[in-house]
Order: sequence, then C-alpha cells, then structure tokens
Amino acid sequence: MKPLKFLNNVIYSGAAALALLAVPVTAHHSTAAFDNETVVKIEGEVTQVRWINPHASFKLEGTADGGPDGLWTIEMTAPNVLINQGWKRSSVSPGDKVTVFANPLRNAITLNDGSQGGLYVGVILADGSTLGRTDGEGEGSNR
Amino acid sequence: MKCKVYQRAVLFLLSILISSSLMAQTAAERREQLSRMIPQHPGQLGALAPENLAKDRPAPAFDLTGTWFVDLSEGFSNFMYGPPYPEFIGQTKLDFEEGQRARAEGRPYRDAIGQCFPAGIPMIMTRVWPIAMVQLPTVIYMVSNFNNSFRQIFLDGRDYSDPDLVIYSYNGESIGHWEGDELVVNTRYIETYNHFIDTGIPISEDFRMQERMRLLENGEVLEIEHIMTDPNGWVGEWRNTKRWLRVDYTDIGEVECLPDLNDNLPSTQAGQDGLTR
Repeated sequence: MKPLKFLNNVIYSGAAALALLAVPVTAHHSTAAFDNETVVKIEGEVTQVRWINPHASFKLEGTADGGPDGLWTIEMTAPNVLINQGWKRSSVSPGDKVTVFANPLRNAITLNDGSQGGLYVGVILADGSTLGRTDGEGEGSNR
Repeated sequence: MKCKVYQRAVLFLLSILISSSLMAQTAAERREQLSRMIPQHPGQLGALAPENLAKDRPAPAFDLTGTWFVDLSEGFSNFMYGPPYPEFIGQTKLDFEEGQRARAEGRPYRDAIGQCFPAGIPMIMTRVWPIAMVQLPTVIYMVSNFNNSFRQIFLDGRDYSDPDLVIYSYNGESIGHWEGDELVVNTRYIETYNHFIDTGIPISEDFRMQERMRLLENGEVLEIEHIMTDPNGWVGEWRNTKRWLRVDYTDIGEVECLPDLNDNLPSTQAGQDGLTR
C-alpha cells in the first residue's frame, strides 16, 4: 500500500470511528447483504431521488467501474444522519450528472426495476463538490 | 325543470331534519350509537380519563418524560440483547445457530424489520432512533421515532386483559408498578409472527419480559434491566441491561415503512431468508 493511500485510510478510519461515536445512527435493517470490501464507481445521470425516512435513496443510469453498466439503485442512511454529514435535500436532483461510489450487493440480484443495488459510500456532485468518501475505498453505512 | 326544483327542496328539508335529529341526541346517546366500534374495557377507566388521572396515588420515583437515545457508545452491536445468550432449546436452538452462521458468513437472515414487520419488544427499544416518552400518573407513552412505533405502560393499577379477548401486538401489553426507586414493568400478550430477537431468534406466545427501570446520573441516564423468559425457547432467564441517554435537544419525526420503500433498498430485497410467508 502506498504511504499516501495508507494515510488516507488511517484518516478515514479514524473519522468513521469518531462519526460512529458522535453522530446519531439509524437502522432499518442489516447491511450484511453488501460487500463492504468492494467499491463500485458509477458515472451517470440521476433518474430518481427519494429523500425520506427511514432511508434516503436515489437511482442513476450510467457506466460502472467494477460492476455492470445500466441502472443502479443506491441505498443510503436516514436523511437526519445525512444532514449531519453535509447533505441537503437539494444535494442531488434528477438530471444531475454525478459520480457515485457504492458497496455492491454481495450476491448480485436484479431489483424489481431491473437495477443493480449498492450502498452509498460517497458522491462527486454535479458542481464538482464531494460528499462522503470518493477515493474508491470505504465502507458504506445505512445507520 | 319544476320537478328538479321540488326534488332539491325535498332533499334540503330532509338534510335539515336529519341534522336536527342528530343535534337533539346527547353526547351519551351518540356514543351509545357508536359503541360497537369503540374498544371496551368494562370497569376500567381510560388512562387519560380526568377522573383516573386525578386519583390519589403515591408520587412516582421519577419522571421519564423526555426524549431518549439508546447508548451505543461502547459499540454499535450493543443494540442486540446478546451475547451472553441463554441455553436455547428445540427449534429456537436450531434457529439461533442458523442466525449465528448467517452473521459469520455476512448473510442476511430473517430481516423481518427490513421487510416492514414491526420490530416489537425488546428490539424496538434499541432501534437507533430517539424515543419520545410522556409520563402521566396513569400511563407512560413511548413513541419510537422508528416507524413511530407506539408503546404504552399502564400505571393505574389495572389487571391484564382477558386472555380470550386481548389482541396480541408486537409491543405487547405492559403494566408497571413502583418498587422503591425502580419502575418494574411486566409485558405479555406479544405477537409472534415474524417477530425475532437479535438475529432471527423467535419467541412463542409464552414469551414474557420484565423491565426494571431506574434513572442514573441526575436523571440523564435511563437504565433498564431486561429479564426475558420463554419456556418454549430457552432455559431460565435471559438477562440484559441497557442504557439510554436523555437527548432533550431533539424531537422525534415521522417515519413510515411505505409499501414500495424496499423497491429502493437493495439490501432488503436480499434479506428475506427464513421469514414466514
């Protein structure tokens, strides 16, 4: 592992641990279905956003590095937790061109709408700003 | 044309007659008319009846009114009630072992809550969402932010419902009494359908839970010792103590498990193994 990458991992792991201690967490269900050691990078256009309890989510159509191209459904934690991470209701809107980083389902299944599934790790927004972890590593959380 | 005018006039007069006859009924008569649709518990006043609230009672040892958040500062897995686990028996033992295998393999198992089944007790108490509690002399109302699950603990000295008439529910029927500085709450009549503890541990209709509640650190911390029994599932008592932090700087909000929620949650579509259908 390169020194810079190692340093990044240390910083992100520490931040994640602190976040777990400091930020209210939420859970609708287990995240066991996701492969938290793999991060897929999906570049595409947002087709749907649901900013609602108990989980926010969005869909995007695009090309994936590390997974199949096409429609992806990205599962997220609760909006109140995302707000504590810098998200706003307007952060992502249908039509936005974004790059998303997500842990894919461990055993890939096709969802009801034919999409692939992933757990949100980070995103590069349409304006180039970032939320979450966008270095191609990291473990998402729905809590 | 003339006919339509007459029809309208007749309808108008009829509506006046019906409204005035309703107005002539007393509130008691109108309640009687609707009584078949109103849940009854003869001989027991409702917990919010002014007459019940006003009865003389010893002062409670503490007041839980406020907003609380489960204390997971020592580790997220503390939302579970084990380990340690009791000695499971019969089918419960097999189910527990399957759940442990699934956890070890990173495989979802009996993700009933993810499928919008109520968490039920005890799991509703450790969902990682705030819980609003309102304590009155006769009852404590608890509303978990998670799916706004409602729980009530009666303090007005009532008996449990008739077992032949009671409607089982995921949070059961809870009755509390004070023992010194502790509130002791006993719960029974708990729905068992897709109702699990931790990773897929089922309960039977003989499941009972006692909670011994006390406040610590000048009322900033709520501690509950849970004593759970189910002679069909395990030997003796399953004990576990948890704490909640007072978080009165926040409020609970509305959370609904919508019918199509899981269309957007890949993990729940993968988490249906082991559920009863």
